[in-house]
Amino acid sequence: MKYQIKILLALLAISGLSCQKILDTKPMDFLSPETYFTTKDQANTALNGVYSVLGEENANFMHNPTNLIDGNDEAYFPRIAQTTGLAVNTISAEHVDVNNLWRGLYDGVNRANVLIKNLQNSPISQTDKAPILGQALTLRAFYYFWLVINWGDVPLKLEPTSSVNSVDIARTSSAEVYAQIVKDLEQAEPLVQSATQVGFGGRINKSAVRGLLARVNLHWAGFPLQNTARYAEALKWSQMVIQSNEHDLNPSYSQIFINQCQDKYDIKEMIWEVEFWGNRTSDAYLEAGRIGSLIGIACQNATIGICADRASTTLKLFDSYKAEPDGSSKDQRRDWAIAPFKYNNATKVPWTATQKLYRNAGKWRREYETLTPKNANYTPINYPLIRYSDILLMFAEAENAINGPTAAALDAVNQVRRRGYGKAVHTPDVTIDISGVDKAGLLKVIQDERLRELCFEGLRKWDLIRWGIFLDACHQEAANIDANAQADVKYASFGIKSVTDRNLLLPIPSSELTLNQLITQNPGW
Amino acid sequence: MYKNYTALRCGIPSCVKPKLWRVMKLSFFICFVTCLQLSAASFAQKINLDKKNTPLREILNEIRRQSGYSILCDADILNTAKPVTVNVKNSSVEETLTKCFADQPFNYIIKEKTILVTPKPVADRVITASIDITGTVTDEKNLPLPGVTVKLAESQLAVSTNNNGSYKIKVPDEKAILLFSYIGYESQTIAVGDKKVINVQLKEQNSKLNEIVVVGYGSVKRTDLTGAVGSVNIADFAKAPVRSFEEALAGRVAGVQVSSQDGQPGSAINIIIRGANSLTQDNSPLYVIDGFPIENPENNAINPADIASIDILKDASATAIYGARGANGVVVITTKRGKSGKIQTAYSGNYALNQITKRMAVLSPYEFVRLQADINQAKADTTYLKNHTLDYYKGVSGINFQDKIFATRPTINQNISLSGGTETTRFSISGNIMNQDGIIINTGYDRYQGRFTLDHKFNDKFKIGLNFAYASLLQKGNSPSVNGVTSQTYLLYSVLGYRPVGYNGEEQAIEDNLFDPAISTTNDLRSNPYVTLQNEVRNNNTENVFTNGFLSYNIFPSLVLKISGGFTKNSLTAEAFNNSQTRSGASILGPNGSFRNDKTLDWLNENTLTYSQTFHRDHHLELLGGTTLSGRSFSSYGATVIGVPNESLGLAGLDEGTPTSVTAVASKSYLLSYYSRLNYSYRSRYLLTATIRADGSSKFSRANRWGYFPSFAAAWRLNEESWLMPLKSLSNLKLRASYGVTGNNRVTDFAYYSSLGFPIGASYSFQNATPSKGTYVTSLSNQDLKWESTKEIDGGLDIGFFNERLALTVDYYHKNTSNLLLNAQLPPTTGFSNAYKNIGEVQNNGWEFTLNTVNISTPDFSWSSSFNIAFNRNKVLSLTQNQEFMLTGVTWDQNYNNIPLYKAVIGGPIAQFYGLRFNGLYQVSDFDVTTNANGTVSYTLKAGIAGNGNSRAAIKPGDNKYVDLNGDQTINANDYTIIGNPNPKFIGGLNNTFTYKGFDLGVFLQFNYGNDIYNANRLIFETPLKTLNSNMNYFAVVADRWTPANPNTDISTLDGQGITSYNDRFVEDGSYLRLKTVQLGYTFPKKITDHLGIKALKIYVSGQNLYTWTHYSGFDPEVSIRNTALTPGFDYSSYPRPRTFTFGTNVTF
Repeated sequence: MKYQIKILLALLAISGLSCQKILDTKPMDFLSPETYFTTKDQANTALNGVYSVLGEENANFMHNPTNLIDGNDEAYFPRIAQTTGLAVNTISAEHVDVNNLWRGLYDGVNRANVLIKNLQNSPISQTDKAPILGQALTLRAFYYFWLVINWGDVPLKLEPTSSVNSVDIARTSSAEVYAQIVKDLEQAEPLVQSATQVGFGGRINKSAVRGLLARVNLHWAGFPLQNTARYAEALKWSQMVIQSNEHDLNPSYSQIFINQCQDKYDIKEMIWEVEFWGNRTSDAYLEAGRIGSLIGIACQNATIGICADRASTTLKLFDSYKAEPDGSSKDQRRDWAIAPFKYNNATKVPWTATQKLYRNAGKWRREYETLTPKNANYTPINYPLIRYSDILLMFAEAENAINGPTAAALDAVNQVRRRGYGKAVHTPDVTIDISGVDKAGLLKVIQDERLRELCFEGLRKWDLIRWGIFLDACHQEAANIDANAQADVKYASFGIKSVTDRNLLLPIPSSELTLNQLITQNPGW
Repeated sequence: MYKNYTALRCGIPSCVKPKLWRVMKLSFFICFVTCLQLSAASFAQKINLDKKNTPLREILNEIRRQSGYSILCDADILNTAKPVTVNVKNSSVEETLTKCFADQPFNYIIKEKTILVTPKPVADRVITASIDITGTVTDEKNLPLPGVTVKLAESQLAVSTNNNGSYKIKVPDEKAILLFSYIGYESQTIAVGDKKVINVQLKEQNSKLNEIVVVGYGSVKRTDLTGAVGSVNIADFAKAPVRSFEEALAGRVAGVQVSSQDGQPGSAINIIIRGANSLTQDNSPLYVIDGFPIENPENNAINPADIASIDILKDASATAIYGARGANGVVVITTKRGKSGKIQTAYSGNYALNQITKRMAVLSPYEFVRLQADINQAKADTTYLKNHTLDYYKGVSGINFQDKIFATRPTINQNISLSGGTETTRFSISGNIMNQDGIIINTGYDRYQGRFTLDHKFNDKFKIGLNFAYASLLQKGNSPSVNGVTSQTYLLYSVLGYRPVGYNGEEQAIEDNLFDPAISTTNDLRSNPYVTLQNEVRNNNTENVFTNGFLSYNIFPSLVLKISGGFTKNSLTAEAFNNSQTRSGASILGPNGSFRNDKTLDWLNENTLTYSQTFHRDHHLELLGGTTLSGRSFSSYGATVIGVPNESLGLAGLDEGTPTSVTAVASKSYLLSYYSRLNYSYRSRYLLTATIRADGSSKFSRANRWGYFPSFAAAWRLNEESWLMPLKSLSNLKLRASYGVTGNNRVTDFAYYSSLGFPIGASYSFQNATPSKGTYVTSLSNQDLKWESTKEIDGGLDIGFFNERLALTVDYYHKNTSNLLLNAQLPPTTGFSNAYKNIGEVQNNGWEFTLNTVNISTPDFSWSSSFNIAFNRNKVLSLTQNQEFMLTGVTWDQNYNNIPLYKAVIGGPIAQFYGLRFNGLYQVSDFDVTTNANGTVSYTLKAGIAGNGNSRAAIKPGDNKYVDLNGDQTINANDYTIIGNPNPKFIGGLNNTFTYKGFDLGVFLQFNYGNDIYNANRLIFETPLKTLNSNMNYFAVVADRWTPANPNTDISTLDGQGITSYNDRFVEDGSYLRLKTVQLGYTFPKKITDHLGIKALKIYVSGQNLYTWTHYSGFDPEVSIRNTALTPGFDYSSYPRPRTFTFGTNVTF
């Protein structure tokens, strides 16, 4: 029996007392970031994750650009019952879209920070590293650009979040944020490949970085910072895109968007676009967007493509295109950007000349979509981020700001106009070309031209803000609608007239306010 | 016997029936002088008496008072006592008694602190004694029992055991029969046969006070308990005809809140002990099944008929021995094992009918058509009213899908068991087959389960035991409350919302087709629920293997080593298939299906040493030390496939379709623990327990891995004090106090690691190529993560009167849970929305009362009651960082998912309903009314009258009005306020048991008071819409909607909801009193069963959920379809709870 006792006690000792090591476990079904980023493929996979935010559904960013388009002088949300939300400028710090937009952008920033930080110590060769780092820097700059134009002073984080406890972070002045954005972009510019080398609009290329530099500098030069020294920078970078000779306007305005509907690239015109893919019906990916199904022509027919129209034209946008006495317009952009018809099931029923406000944003039309069967909600249609016409207009604006209405500035504007009228882009045409305007006059022309050319592309609100005319433009258009709209669409002015001083910036979202002790709220919210 | 004696001691001679007394007298015996030779040294008390010619009764009472000893004697024989004259000073009890009993016809025996008075021996009869029998009598712990009566049957010859428990008796021949009896123990009868030595072990009699309570790593008599432990009365409990023990647990034990998600067979049941501690983490208790601690076990795998006891450890002194996993309380389940003796076979079977208790009243065909006309008169004129007048529909009965999908369905439950064995080897085998059909067609639950136990004693020192159980479970059928994208995809939406009539002879199509021909399937997701139920496959197949064994070795009589080990393997295969006759299969996805296989393996090795010793008679010490190593591994693999070409193959044809998503999850954790417990008692009067446990978990980083959980408890049994002796009716009075720290480690296994996720959403497509995988840091590491700890104090009082015929237990507790393992929200600037942090604090405190009474007790008729009630208050003390409150939504409908319905605010309970206050409807008088030239009337809301969140121009009479709390003339999130409290003010139960001859009747009532429920069914079915979902049916009250002619109502006009929001109109009182279980049984008398050749036969009828008193308007007030600590009491499309009638029999062969 003594022997048995010994065995038992031995068992006890073995099982209980010497097993401390068993507690050191390693995750079985996920990887830890510490051990990643050692190969080019791994770094590229992480880069995909940074790109992914551009089209992520809950980031509510480009995926469903309703909130970027509606509620200013170009578009309104065509639902009488819609009385809250970004699209009608009726929000609070609690609003889910405000929270999601902020969250999505900082999510992108952190993903970029993780990649940038880990690339530093990674054994990947410099040649392989450069384009990855360049794209990551550009994306981080792009996300910060969205933050600074929407919220003003924002927390500037350039390191990955590493602690769950020290999470409080104060706001950095907008000027510093702009400086960092420009610094990142300037660092990225030599690292990334040229547009020609990349060959399609889905990946960041040198022209995209230069275009962004032009855009960022224009904003920095405008309201509210009015750092006018930046016009020169905007001029420099837009000029570099033009002088690269890699880009030109697509002769057909509508073809730009049909290409997007048909998943075709046009690197000459479409310098950078958000790539959407699939439609969630025949694939398990979440890379499909809602361009066409939310921003498009109302349609109940599944073959054409169902669309719950979430953006319709204002009177101002419609009337900004020069109309002929019969109501038609020689500016081909009007009846493409603004659908001249509605669908009655599959039949196109034209609107009458006076039915302006009823018209939906029509740039992206599901009838051209090639992926079938079409999904009611999701489409593979891409969304533009930087087009060559935008570059031309930015160039003109910067040139005008520095040197006045020079020939170069006028030519850039006129190229855009000629294409709009279906004319040869590089052939002067006196019936269309702008000439003989002064500096202020040209600015006004550029402002209107940007409306006509770039409507529904998510640029208008912030253009108005940097020109310092956002509130006036909105209130004028609201008054215009109140005075001239048919009774059943008078509500179109609701969201547009809701803007006040405080709408120049969004409220810092409640999710940040309640959890970050160092953050402060924007004025008026 | 014990009972009779004790009754006498209480001074109520009348409770002993004369007949019983005679029997008792017969068993009286001669008392040997040896019994009196007890060591005087052990008597601490000194007696002072100076009495002349005083009745013995008074003298004895005086001795009892002074010594603190109990005195047991028969009141009748005291009547024959002679008056006593005695004068002693500082005399021992023994000396005093000897003097007092000098001339009396009595003897006395002193056993521990009890004086037993017995008649003096009658002189030996002429018995020709020839055989000497010797032996020792011991108790269950093998300790010698002195003073046991050993009596020769059918004679007056009796002896009693000496201090060593041994005896010697002469018996006449081998046919002699010996009776062993002792107060408080069950008597035993043993035939002498050819034996010369007869050793007997007596079992303690079952009394409430002697009841054994199973606690962590051991068991203890209820009298010796220092902590708060609630025991389920298994006899009453077994009367409930339920599938799983959890279903019958509600209301049985004070402070244990049991609520099931809804009435679906197999739906999740949530048990919360003394309030929820954790905000975002699991609050369910730890289960210890036959000594095997396990988190979230598959409780359906346990057959309730196999359960021998359920004890619920509530306070920290009881749970701290489970350390890091004890904070949510511990449910200790012990299953039945074999008993020695002849092989006993038992069969029990029952047949039950499950029936729906309630149907929702929906609009009649007439009202439905009237609504359609209100929605669109022109359209109604060309449809419903084309060939018929409105009044025609008054005579139409219409289609109600509730009639088609609800049915009365049976449950058949059969158990068979076999048990028996010898003194050394005992075994039991049991099996159970249960087939339960749900009250919704094509839903149900099947269980096939078997168990085997074996216990073997090699010798007095060495024992082993084995327990093996296997269960195969199948939960089948659609779950109506399973999460859907919109409220329209839920089963009961289609059942209640399907239109009752068609026009133009569509009735048949409405009844038979998958989709109503009148609805557009892109906007309206209703589908024929009957067809859906017939075609959707939803099977959850579980296989559960539970094995454990132990080996126990008495190194010394007082030192026991126990080594145990075991494993539980639970494998769930969830299958779903949607053929073309289902909404999903008929959509663009085509026939589709999915499967998932979850495997959980828990294993454990446990080694304990228990030292138990009594010193100097009065000091009892028990010391336990142990180590446990346990582990859990989990894996889940599955896939979803769409576009299955050959749907007739069902799931087996998935390989031919297009896979869309694949799940693969694997994880494991280990826990290494050391623990120790000290129990000390002085004369069973002062009791002390101290425990400590150290737990090391792989879920935390090295620095924070170890947690230490101490507890202390003390109890004082005041009724053992001499100064309380005169209080004759008092049978028990114990004060308890405890303090301890317990933990909670319910976080994911690798929460402290940063993880790099590759979610499909992080992909990005370049150049139209299939998206490339993307990755990012999906969770933030927190190396500081450590145990959540709960500090709890508990004060308790156990008081019993009249030999526990009236017993009351009161407990007060106060728990503070700090370092909450909170899945805390992070500011979005971090790039993360949540991370596990130890932050925040929650407090729970409350009172628990349990009252057990024996109201009537006669041989023929008895009535006993058991009542419990518990009050818990919980309060959030702090949240993450500077968060003042935390808002939580419920996922059920895409329009509402982002709207918070619950608010946890510092200083308030963990969850409260949050939303708008309903303020009636707008009336015409609230508007400026203008009529234009065409006669069109338009309404403009008067200035100064607040809007309802819609644009003011859109508001019309009959729309919902809300309280504009901030007075800004409009309604938005700033007007949200607390609109209800889902936490009950008190919960409890009342059980009554009646027996009359062979009949027994159990009546069990359960109640829940003061909690609110959010009835989202009404949000959908009492909010008529114009623009969407025409041809949809609503609740019958919608007939009373606002019209200019019917302004005094709460039901808004069409499209009258205003802002999409939750409001307090649908917050309902969820209090209820439920007649939960009634069982009437009849046990056939022995002469009949003997005749039939069986041992026992019982037949019974019983009912479950017979009647519920409640104001709740939904199917059933016990509902919480999205149950978490933050989101209790939400109801939408819940499976109705059935009423069950059962007919059954129990036969023992």
